[in-house]
Amino acid sequence: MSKSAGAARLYGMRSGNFAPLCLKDKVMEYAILFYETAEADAARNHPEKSAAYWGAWGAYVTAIMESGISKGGQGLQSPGTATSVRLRGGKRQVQDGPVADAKEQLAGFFIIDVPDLDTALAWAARSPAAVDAAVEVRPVLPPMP
Amino acid sequence: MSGAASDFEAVRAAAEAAARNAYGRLLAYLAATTRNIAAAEDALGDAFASALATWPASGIPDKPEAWLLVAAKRRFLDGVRHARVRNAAEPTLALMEDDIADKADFPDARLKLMFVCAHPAIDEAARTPLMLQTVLGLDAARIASAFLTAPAAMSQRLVRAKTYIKDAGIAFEVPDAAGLGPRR
Repeated sequence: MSKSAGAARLYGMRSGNFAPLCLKDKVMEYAILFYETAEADAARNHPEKSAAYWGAWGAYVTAIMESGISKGGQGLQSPGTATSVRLRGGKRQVQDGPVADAKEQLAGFFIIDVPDLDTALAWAARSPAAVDAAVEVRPVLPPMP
Repeated sequence: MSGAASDFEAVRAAAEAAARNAYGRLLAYLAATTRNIAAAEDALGDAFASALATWPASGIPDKPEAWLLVAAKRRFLDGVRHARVRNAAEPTLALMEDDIADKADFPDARLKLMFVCAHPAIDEAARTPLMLQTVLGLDAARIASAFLTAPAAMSQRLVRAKTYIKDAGIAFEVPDAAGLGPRR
């Protein structure tokens, strides 16, 4: 057992287990990415629905900012305003609309500094996006050296 | 020749007894401290291998669990240094050597480990196998047959779950009342 374990480590096969390091009091930054359905997006400018839409988001954003966990974030304009660009064979390909052709589209994001996944999930679950569509919670990479 | 053989038998029996008694507790403590189940398993496995190699000559220690913990800690830190050299872009977190105690009376983190394995975000098909492998120390092949799954598929499932636990930042804590519900 120890011979092959030693050889495996020599060739770095098991060193993958050790990266990245984890400590019990490690600081974690998560991106919380809010996804939205077309119906919710339509509510933004809807005469009857917009008050509730912006009221809900306003309350949520205020709560995040007051908690002090935010490292930054931004709401995004509707998916229809997006432009996608790709470079293929040295040529730029530009297209109207978002990159992903999906029912749920990116609507905004925060970067939050919280100790663990469940804390991040709790914040994500409080957003209007969690009720409407979904929120993705993903750890950020450390800054480039 | 028979003297050496029976010596080795005694050592193997002592190591096996230590494993049966303490594997789960040792692994849970290492995993909770490092938040890295797979690396803790590797380090602890190496420690047991080292015990089999060195105890015949040095004698079975009075406190085999403390010996194993020290050995596992040393191997874990070695692994960390190796990884740091290979991955220059990794966060420069200093793993304080004091974060991992090396006394015989280390805290029992098995309940925390079980709650981690039961986290609702983990693939449902992986949760119980994870508990069996980590807290009870059962090997993947045996778990696979218990769940009527191909060993390779079960192995992959376990690896993926452990990687996810490490990367997603699941805390090694007993959840409060709100968190307990989904983990029943």
